[in-house]
Amino acid sequence: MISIKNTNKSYHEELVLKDVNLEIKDGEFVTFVGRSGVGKTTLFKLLIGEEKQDSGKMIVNSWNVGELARKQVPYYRRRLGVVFQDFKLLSKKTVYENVAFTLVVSGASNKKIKELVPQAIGLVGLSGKEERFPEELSGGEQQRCAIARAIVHQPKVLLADELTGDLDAIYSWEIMEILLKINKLGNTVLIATHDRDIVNRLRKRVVTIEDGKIIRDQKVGRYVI
Amino acid sequence: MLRSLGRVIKFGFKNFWRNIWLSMATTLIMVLTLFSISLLLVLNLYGDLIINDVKSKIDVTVFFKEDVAKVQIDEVKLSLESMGEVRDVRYISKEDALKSFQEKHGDNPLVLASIKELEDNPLRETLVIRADNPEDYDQIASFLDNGKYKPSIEKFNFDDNKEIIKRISSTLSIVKKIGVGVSIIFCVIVLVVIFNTIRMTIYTQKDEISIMRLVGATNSFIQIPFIIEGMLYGILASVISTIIIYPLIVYFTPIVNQFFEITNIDSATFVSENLLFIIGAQMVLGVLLGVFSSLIAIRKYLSV
Ligand SMILES: Nc1ncnc2c1ncn2[C@@H]1O[C@H](COP(=O)(O)OP(=O)(O)OP(=O)(O)O)[C@@H](O)[C@H]1O
Ligand SMILES: [Mg+2]
Repeated sequence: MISIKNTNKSYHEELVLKDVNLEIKDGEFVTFVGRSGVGKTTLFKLLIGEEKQDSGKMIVNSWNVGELARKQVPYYRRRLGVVFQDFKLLSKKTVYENVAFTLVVSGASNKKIKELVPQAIGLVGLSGKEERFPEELSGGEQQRCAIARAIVHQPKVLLADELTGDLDAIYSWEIMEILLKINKLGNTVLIATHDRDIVNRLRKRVVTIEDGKIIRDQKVGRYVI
Repeated sequence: MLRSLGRVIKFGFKNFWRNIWLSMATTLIMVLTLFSISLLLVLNLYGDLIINDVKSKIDVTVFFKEDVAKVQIDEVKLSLESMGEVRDVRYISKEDALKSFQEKHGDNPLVLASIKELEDNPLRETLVIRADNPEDYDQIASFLDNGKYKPSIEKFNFDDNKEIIKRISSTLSIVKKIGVGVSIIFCVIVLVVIFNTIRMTIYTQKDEISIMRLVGATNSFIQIPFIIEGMLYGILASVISTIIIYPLIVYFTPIVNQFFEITNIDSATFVSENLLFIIGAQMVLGVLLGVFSSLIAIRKYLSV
């Protein structure tokens, strides 16, 4: 359960998110759309505890995100899966090592790593490419690898920001199918995208943001700006 | 917890390997620093040994006039022994003195022959006095010179090492001052160099660090590898520095011993008694320096 109440966020005195209210149930697939600079990434940064809101309340699965102490943030993050466009794969690590990295740094046992990493790699369809380095992958495969890294620890909530930014239509849809599969497994998935075709084809809940405000929230939405 | 510790240590080693040339250069500076400090340490330890040795060899020999009776000599001996400054007084009879003289020059037929020529023993009854401190000899001398025993004393002489001691101490203190200065400069350099190296490592690692944060690595998990890296410089450098300094000690101490005519300090014993201390001191210092500057770098470049 994600609950955002009366949340405001500003950068340098400039209000970027204005009185945002939102309820998301477990297992929902929510698409955030809106022109560039309206505050989608900012909202996601608040949700993962990277930024703090000025006022309001954000609860994610009983974690009071806005009030987290510094020390708690890492433990909160371990409950999330995050794919941000600017968080790249590590070029000196193989696919396997990139995916395992999440588990290695959060203290999982080697046994657990051996068990979970192939599962995640299989789920995103990269089996057989475990030993490749990122530069030996196509753009779409790199995205899959990033998704595998984000879900390998089996988080209940996955956030993906501009996941399909520079992929062509076919690749983009393949990536979406992976997210739908993750969603079908019972996980909450939040994505932010500019991709009109994808939004229209998904037929999922669409939240439209304009100028820092939620102006539309449709159960089965379309990309309308 | 233990598992994470193992991983963190592994990450620290990786940091070290990743910029291997930079790490080597950093280690080299650390080696120079620790080497200069341990040289200073050895100088201190060995200098003290030398001075003590030379000091222990100072004595005053009192030669009595020919006709002085043994009782009288015993009386002088007793009153000397009652002085607080005197450590011990040794009586050497004429006969003993002659015997040891003969032994000493036993391989010189000319000397032996000339002694035989003489009918009487040409040597005198003597007392050899040693004081607790070299400074006390003045007092002992004035006691002998002005006291009631003066008439029975023919002469006394210092086996005067005072000058030598003064020279050794002043040379040592100059060398020590230079050593302390050089060591301090090296310490500052090594702090700056390690700080910079860690900064570089943090910089080359920034993608990795941001992903670590994103997927929930704790701060200590992110930071400790850099502290380990700093420790590694200290540990590695102290080992290398010891490997360099060990043969130097073994080679030079006999030369120094010979120069100061020191017989009762054995360089092997010196090494075996002090090596562990020298390694330990270097390691502790190296680790402290490494950890201190990586902590500063972490504070500056890895703060959340
Ligand atoms: N760290 C920051 N410091 C100052 N201003 C920021 C910062 N991050 C974002 N902003 C500003 O906040 C506003 C919202 O940015 P945000 O990244 O949330 O937009 P977005 O909806 O994700 O846009 P896009 O679709 O282009 O990714 C923009 O005006 C941006 O300039
Ligand atoms: Mg954005």
